[in-house]
Amino acid sequence: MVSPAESTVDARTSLPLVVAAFGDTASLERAPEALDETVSVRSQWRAVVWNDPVNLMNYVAYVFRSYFGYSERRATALMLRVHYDGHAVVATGSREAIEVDVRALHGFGLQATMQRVES
Amino acid sequence: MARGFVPRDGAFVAALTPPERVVIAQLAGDVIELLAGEDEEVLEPADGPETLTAMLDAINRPVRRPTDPALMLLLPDATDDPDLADEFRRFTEDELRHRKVRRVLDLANRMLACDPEGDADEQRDLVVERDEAVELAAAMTDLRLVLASRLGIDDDAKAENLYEELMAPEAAQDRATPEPVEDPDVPDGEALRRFIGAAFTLLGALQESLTDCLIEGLPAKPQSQSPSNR
Repeated sequence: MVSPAESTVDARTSLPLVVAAFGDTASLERAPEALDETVSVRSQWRAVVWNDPVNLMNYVAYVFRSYFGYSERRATALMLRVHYDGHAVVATGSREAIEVDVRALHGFGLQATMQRVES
Repeated sequence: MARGFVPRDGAFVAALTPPERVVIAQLAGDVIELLAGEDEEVLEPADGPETLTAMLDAINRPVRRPTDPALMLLLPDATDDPDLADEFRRFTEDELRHRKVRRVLDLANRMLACDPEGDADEQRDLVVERDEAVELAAAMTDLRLVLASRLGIDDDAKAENLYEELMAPEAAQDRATPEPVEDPDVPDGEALRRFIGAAFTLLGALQESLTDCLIEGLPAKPQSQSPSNR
């Protein structure tokens, strides 16, 4: 579940203060849950492009340049990472933004997935 | 033999012989059939996706993950979380499917646009405007994804082997026993395999040259269309 941003900011910033002030172990027990909420609100997702034996190297680099606006150097580096490492993270952002990216990459015919960034 | 795309007068021009055009058109037809599947309405104009009815339809319809591995390459899972992948598919697959049908149909129409009869060796120009080129290149990917799947090419090494196989016809013909084909849907026969392989290679050469034309035309500082952080 997603909680309001303010409360999670509080949880993240004020928890150590609460512990320091009161030495309250109950706060410590609550801490993991509060931190989980922080993660879900701020959670980042990433778009991963996977190597396949069909897509051409120049086409993949073209997609990275034309869609993401990457420089030739960066697009080529990412394309080579896909080719040699089997996959590469090509973008990071909110879930909504990464969904848009994965849709676009599927539109180009690339094998792309979205993953939550583990923190 | 075909000639790849080169820039000419603001457009991109390749040249194909009539038999090459017919082969590509036929394969495009197969891919459209695969994409349309049992869903006949995919060939008809889509309802505006914004209508409430269409949205409710999307919510209520069961999500059907493709069972054909070639179709899975055209309409891949968006994540390895099955529930999330289904949800993504529910709201995006129709649009992707329609878009792919449209552009593969456009590719087929371009192949048939000039008289496919006539001198089998006579190259005919294939003119593609700059703003049509990306979707056409993507349509070539769609065809190649399906062909590769039918050929059992699922890694880079097999793709390279195919190239060598086609480049060394004598060696391939001398082979006493053809390689077993893993997919039972692929008919036996080295000839068919070589035919599909040649089409795969032809489309690859066309797509690569078209992409080179597109790369040449990229602005020095391209604008991002992506909403994500980079």
